[in-house]
This record gives sequence, structure tokens and C-alpha cells, in this order.
Amino acid sequence: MTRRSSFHPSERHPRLFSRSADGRWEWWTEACGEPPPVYGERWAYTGGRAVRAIDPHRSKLGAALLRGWRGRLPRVGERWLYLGAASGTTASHVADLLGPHGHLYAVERSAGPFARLLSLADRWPPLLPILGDARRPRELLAWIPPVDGLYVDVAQPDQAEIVAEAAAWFLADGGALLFALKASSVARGPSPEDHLRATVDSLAASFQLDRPIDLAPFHRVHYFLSGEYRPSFDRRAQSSRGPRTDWRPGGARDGGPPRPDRPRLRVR
Amino acid sequence: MAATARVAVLDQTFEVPVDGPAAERSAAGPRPVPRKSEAAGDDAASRDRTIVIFDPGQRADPALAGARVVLGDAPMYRVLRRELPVPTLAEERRHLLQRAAERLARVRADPVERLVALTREEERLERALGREVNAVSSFPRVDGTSSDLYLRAEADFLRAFRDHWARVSALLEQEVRALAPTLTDLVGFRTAARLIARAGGVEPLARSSAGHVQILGSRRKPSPLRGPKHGVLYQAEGVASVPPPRRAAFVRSLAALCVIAARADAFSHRSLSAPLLARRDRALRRVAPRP
Repeated sequence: MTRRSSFHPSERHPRLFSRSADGRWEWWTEACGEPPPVYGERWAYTGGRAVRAIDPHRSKLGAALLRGWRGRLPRVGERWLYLGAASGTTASHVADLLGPHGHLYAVERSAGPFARLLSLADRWPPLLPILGDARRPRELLAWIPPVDGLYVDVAQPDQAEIVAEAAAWFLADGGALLFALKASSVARGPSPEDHLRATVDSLAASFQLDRPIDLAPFHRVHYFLSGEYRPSFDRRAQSSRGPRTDWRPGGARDGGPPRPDRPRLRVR
Repeated sequence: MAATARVAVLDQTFEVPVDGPAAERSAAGPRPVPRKSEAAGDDAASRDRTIVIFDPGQRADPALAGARVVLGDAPMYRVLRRELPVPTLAEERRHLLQRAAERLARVRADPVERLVALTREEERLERALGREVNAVSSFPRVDGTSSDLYLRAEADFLRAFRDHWARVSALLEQEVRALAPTLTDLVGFRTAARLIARAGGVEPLARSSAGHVQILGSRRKPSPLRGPKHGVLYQAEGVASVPPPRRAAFVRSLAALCVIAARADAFSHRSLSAPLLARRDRALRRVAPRP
């Protein structure tokens, strides 16, 4: 028999719930649409509200929540841009968090998943699907106003550049970034930690990043980066301010400043 | 200098007067090469007019004729976009869903996209069929028990599955033969379709090198120690009959012929099937075991 606790509303977000089942934590979001399930996830009802379980094996956001990520979540009623929405597995949960009056611009390039995303958008009010290429933000300009947050899950070799470029065009100052980094799609050779370090280094110029979350065992060699957009953010000032480098994998473990002669990795 | 910026919001275009440091920097920055007529100075009015656009697709707009067109950058766009109206969710939904459906229909009608989708489907079916056949072949049959019933039902299922696969394959052959007849003659329709799908079209395939075609579709990650080796070309008709030590040599020459075939299909549209097949047979003879 499965032992389940009741749903606990999360203090982090009015549309987020958690509960434990068989000693494992689960995260649930309040659904924005009607059943049937979007990707075969479980539905339940609590206090007159329909909630959907986030499958951590399918969704990197769900995995990050389970791995203890405590960064800024999408808030109710905000505008968010989602790059690499695929068929809307995680995008539907982000839309749930934004609520029925939020806007989620979901960009997907390939036609097959996009067809499923489009049919989902018919019954999921905040979801606004755009068939386009995240690499070419100029072609998306007419459709996307400045957004409060950016969720990127593109698994491309140049994913860090895609993030920086999309943020420069669309993300408002102080906007949030959630970035699922797939280290194995960056390049050959160096280890996943090296890729993570290179990505963190390249994004640190314009983002104030939180501690990266390793998504194992739900997703192998995936990391979850989150942060706040600060276009005029001076990284040198940041590093002189204090021990911001202590969590950097392979970086200075004692919290001191990074070695100047540390080889810089080029992220393709 | 009077400069305006054109910013499109959904289906409306706004012309916003720009001045200040952002506009100056943009207008002076990545300047397009002046055309001859402009350099000669045809009329002063058009030279005074500078239009900053953000989407290069707007260049074709007839309203921009005679003006100096500058491609704006992200910082300037951020400033400008804040001034413009933001549509409501209902407006946006209606517009974006309609645009998305139109674009999807357009993309779906593209022959290369259809070919990619069909190829994926065919590969999936082939893999699934292989799995099922393997499962059945290792299943012990005992007459008069439920395992016998199971195998009968499975045989029916496999027959239907094979029929479906044959239908998809016939459709695929038709599509790929229309797109790349020479390549289809050379390596067979399945391999030709997989090559085209992996390369993203006949033209990208024609522009790539033989070395690239040879490993196209290889799943192994390139590494300095052990590179990728077996791509989809190793599944082509005839490759299996070559003795293993000479197989790589044959695939190398076949890759070179594939590129020639793709170039004929993409650019010259001449039928090179006969000479290419002759060269493939010569390569086959070269790698055949000596008696």
C-alpha cells in the first residue's frame, strides 16, 4: 500500500504543491487547463483545485525542484519566454505556474513536436506557441515583448550563446533565467564539469547566477542554472567582492579568487 | 539626420523617431556597404532618411525604398520596445495561434520536411519490427499451450506490422525518388532517404564532403582517441556483401560517389546513374576477395 501525505501548499508559490509518497517528495502544479493529461502525468484534486504531478524524469524543472533548487520560480501573471519547448512537457508546468493570465511564449523549431505543442496550446491558456529558431531571435521580435523570465532547454552545442543572445533581446533588467544545461551536447573532450564551468564563466558577465544544480540521477550530465539578468553587471567587481567562486567546480575550493592562469574553455 | 526605427508588433508596424546615443551608435555602427547610386548622391531627401530595422526580413518592404536601412542592435531594441504597446493576452493568443498553424502547414508541405518525417517513421518501424522478430524467435513454442496461442497472435500482429512498414516504405521511395533519383539508384531509397534526412536536404548533402557523408548518422561521439566510424552508409545495399576488412575502403569510395550523385540531383539535374553505378561496381570489384 502506498503511504501518501496530503498536499502541502508551497510557501514559494501559490500554484505549487508538494506531498510525500512512500517517503519520496513529489512536486505538483495547479493545472491551467482541463484533463486529459499532457504527457501521461498524474492528476489529483485538492481543495477544489486540479493539480498535476511533475515527472522529474521527463522535466528538468521537476528534477531541479527535487534536487533542492531554491531559486526564483515563475510568478503568477508574468510573461516568460521558453526556448526549446518541444511538445510542451515542462512548458505546460511553467504555464501552470504563470497562471491563466500569464504569458508563456514557447519557441520550438521542429515541426513534429510543434504540432503537439500547438494542439496543447488550444486548451492551455497561457501557452503561446511560436514555430521559430531560438538561434535567430531577430525573426521572433514581432511576437515577443520584453519578458520577465527566460527558460532555456535547447541542448545545442552553442546553448550558452543562445541564452546570452535571447536575454539581450528579450529579457527585462532583473529578469529571471532558468537554464537546463546539457553538458554532453556542448563539445567533445573535456569533462561535464569543465563545460559547466565554461558556461558559468560566459554567463557570469551578464547574469548573477545561483549555485548550479546537478540533475543526476534524473538526467545524466545535465545541470540546472538559474540567475538574475544584469546586463551592466561588472564581473570583476563581483569577484573582488567576495567568495563567489567557492562553488565553482574545479575552481578555487578555499573560496579565494580564481587563478588568473586557469585555462579558459571555449564553449562552442 | 532624421532617423526612424521600424518595429513590428504582431501584425502592426510602428515607426518610432529615434535620437540619442543608442540611435547614434546604431546608425554609425554596422553600416551597410553603400550602393553605387547612393554614393553618386541621387537625392538629398532619401539620404537624410535613415530607417533602423531589427528584423532583416523587413528589408524587402517596399516602404523602405530610397532610404538608408540600418540593422539595429539589441540594446536599442530593448529601449524602443518598452515604448510600444503590449497586446492583451486574447489578441496575442488569437494572432499567434493563427500564425503558428499557418507556419506549421507551410513547413509540413515542404518536401524535405516530409521526407525527414517519413524517414524517421520508417526507421522507427524497422527498429520495432527487428525487436519483435527477435523476441518471437527466442520464444519457446509448446503446442497446445498458451505459448502457442501467443505465437499465433504475434504472427498476425507481425504480418500487419510488415504491411504497414511496406506501405510507409513505398511512400518514402516515391518521395525520395522525386527528390534525388541518382542517389536513390546508387545506394537504394532507404539509405538515400536517411542521408538526406541527416544532412537536412539534398542541397546540404551536396555541399558536404565525402568524409562527412561517410560518417553521417554515426552515433559515436567524436573523440581524439576513437572517432565515429559507422554511419548510415554502412547499411547501404551491397555493403554487407563486402568482406569486413575491405568494407571501410568500399564505403569511402561509395561516400565519394554519393556526394557526386547528390550534386547531380541538387544542381545539374542530369541523370548520372549509369556512370556512377559503373564506378560503384568497379569499386566493388576492387574490394572483392581475390580468388
